[in-house]
Amino acid sequence: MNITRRLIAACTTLTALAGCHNAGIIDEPDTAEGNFRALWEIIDTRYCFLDKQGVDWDSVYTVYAPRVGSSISSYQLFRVCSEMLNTLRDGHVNLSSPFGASYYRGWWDGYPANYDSRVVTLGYLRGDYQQMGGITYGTIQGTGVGYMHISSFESAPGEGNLDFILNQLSLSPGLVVDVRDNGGGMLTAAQTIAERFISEPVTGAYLCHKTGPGHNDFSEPRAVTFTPPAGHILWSKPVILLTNRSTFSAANYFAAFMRTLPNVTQVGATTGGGGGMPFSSSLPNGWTVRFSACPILDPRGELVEDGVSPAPDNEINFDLSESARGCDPILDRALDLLLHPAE
Amino acid sequence: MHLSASAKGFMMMRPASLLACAAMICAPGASAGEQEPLRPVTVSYMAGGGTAHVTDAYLAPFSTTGWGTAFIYERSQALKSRPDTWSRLLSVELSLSRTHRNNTSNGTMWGAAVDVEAAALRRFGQLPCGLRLAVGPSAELLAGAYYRPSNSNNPAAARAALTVGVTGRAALGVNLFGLPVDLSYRPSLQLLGAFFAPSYGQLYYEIYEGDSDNLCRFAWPGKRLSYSHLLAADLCFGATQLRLGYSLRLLTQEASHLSVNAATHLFVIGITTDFMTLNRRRDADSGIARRIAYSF
Repeated sequence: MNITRRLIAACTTLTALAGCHNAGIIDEPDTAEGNFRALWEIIDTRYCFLDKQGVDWDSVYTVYAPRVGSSISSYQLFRVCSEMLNTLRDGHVNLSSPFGASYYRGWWDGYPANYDSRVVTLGYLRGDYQQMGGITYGTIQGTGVGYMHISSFESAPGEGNLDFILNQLSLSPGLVVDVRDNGGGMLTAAQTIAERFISEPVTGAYLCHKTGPGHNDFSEPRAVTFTPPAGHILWSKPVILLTNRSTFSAANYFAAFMRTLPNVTQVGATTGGGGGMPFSSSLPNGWTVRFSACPILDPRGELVEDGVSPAPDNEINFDLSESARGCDPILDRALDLLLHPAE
Repeated sequence: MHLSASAKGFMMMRPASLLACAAMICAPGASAGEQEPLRPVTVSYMAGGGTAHVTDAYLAPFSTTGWGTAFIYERSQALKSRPDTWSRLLSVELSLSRTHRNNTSNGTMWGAAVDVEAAALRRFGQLPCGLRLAVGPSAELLAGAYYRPSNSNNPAAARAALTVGVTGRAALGVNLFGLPVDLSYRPSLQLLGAFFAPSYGQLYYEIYEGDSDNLCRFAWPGKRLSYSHLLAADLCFGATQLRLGYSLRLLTQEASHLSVNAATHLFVIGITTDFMTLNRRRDADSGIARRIAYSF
């Protein structure tokens, strides 16, 4: 009997100790108010740039919550939630619903395009170019300068592909690496290409993450080491990196690293940023929300969320009339720097 | 033919073929206990299907519900060193689940895991009511993942744990309309050990890049508790028994302000049978009676 009592006491204690954990779980109903509160809480606890962006998230709640009533339609709720998320001014914050996805466009739509692919491929490469693994490459006609446009980092090019491209351009006096209009993709893809421009292991970036729901609960930044691939072709000649406002996310990560190399010069416009690795979560009604969760720092330890800028001398913007004339002033500046480095 | 008392008590539940097999190698008049007893292996193969309820706050902060399925292999045998009192038990479960938010069909979450449990059970013989009891320490190794394709950089959450706990077994032989039925209940409670959990907002890319600090957590009932049981009825139609049962598996854990709660309820169906390995030269020619020590 004594043993039985002890067993019951032990089981009771265990049950009380364990219970059912609920940390990180949001208990909101699938109503307009419930979904709104869930979205607000997800951003409040997991978004990584609230303080950096200077957003008073509690105030945002008081502004938008009164617009959400029980009679609001799903589409109206989506609009209110989208507007609330846009206060974060972050291109990595999206709300996906059956109606579509919200998207903060302010990071690029108020800026010059600064890029027209047809001007480059038809005007500068004169149609003599190749495309492989998302990379368009060739030689700028009349100059011998190598040109490589990386349109996306959605997938990493093969090491063999990169060997072939760099070998084809090996006689060039310099290389233009163009990541304008590159909206990003995988960090590993950006890293694979960036590692062709170094000769020894270096710190490529720092990553940190949130360690708790507080706005300033962050881990110590941890270095990401870039290592040149053994047995493959590496590029050590001068490089001009072209960027525009639509250089975003993984392309921004790539640019933030490349511009720190001694043989690389950035030309063009400030990149669009996107220096926070996005996570996803969902609302009670099934809508998916994506948000920046892990801040990325450049090799100098600086946040790159607001983009990276070229030196003032190399910051160039142009309007559509230049493109209409077949000119690309950013590429012209790159060629000038490569062909006349002393000037 | 000599059989130990404990073995005789169980014989009514065992296949006739086993009796014949044992008799073949037993010479009349030989004394029991001079050689180690025969230790048949009791094996069960089960397939199950039912419901799964999963919440993994790393992937999404809400509970999901759907179906779960599993294939379970269970093996038990009397211990060679103490065949009359101790048995070893091995259970391997391969499970798969597909769940989603209760009221929506999107946000599907897949779960897959392999669960290996090994236990040593101390048998307490047969109680006057016919109930057989056993209890002992166990160790469990879990490896698997939850996968939510709609997520961007956090599409999957790995699961891994190595824990120790207590496993028990209770069984009762009954007769149902002339059919021998062995009812059994096998609970398992995992109490201490280690488990894997990323930090609150940690990327697996960071782990890939070498940020492995604090990934291994200490498991104790305040942070992680795992309970499972199998309630089974073995219907003895002949040499092989038909097993019908209910499998419950519960898990709750918390690390870095994130919880994982999972429950699966499965109806299982399978077969149970006994195997015995005989060494012809040693066993058949010895002329010495061998008794049988069952695992349970």
